[in-house]
Amino acid sequence: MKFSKLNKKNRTVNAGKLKAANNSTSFTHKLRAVPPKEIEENRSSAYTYLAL
Amino acid sequence: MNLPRFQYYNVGVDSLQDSKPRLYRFRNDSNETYIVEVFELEHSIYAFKFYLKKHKDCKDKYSKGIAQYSVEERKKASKAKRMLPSGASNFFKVLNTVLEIAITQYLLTNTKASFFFMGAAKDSEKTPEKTNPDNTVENTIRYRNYWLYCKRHLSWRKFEYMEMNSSSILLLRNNDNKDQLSLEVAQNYITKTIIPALNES
Repeated sequence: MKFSKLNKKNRTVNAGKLKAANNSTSFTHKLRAVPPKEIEENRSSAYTYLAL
Repeated sequence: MNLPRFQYYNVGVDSLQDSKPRLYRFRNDSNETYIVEVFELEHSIYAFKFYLKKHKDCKDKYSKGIAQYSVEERKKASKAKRMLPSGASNFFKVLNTVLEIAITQYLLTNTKASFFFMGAAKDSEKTPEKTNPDNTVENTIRYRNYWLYCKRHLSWRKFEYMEMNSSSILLLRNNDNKDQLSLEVAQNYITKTIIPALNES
């Protein structure tokens, strides 16, 4: 069956299955250290850090 | 810490769970009781989980929000002309209370304490596209909110922010513990120990 003929619900399910199938063999979580610059860039200046 | 918060109480240890988390409780403005579970993990990592006491027997107690009310609850409140607390009214005070517990009970007694949390997925987020084979859910709303909250109050000079978007996990690694808890050690510990343990519990 052509992908275009599938309804929206089936597309969602198939996309999920595809992701699970792709990930099942090579799935790894990646931990990333966030650079301070990135934290400061998107931070509101209305708040001050707690003194710890 | 001058943030508005609720009065909390230490209520001992949950001996029914294998990991024996320490328990705290507090009441919000609507007199609902919250339970905070603190798990002490390896490398001086403390994981915090909290939920409403009324949800304690639910399988997905961490996923339930404070603003999720049934039709009956809403009708009852409407009849009594009583306002149901929205998520916003309690959200910050709840997080402030959990942060207060983290700082006063753990960071002040263990200067190397690091903190760990995972933003539980709402029911609407548990879609096949976002759910991983190990049942973790990527980039949940709670994860993003907790992330912003931490960024607001906790300095990167004290904690290194280590994020794992794919499983909605944030580790605030104490910089005093960076020799013992490197990025590689943390990555291995989370993927090989913590995430499998989440599936078992």
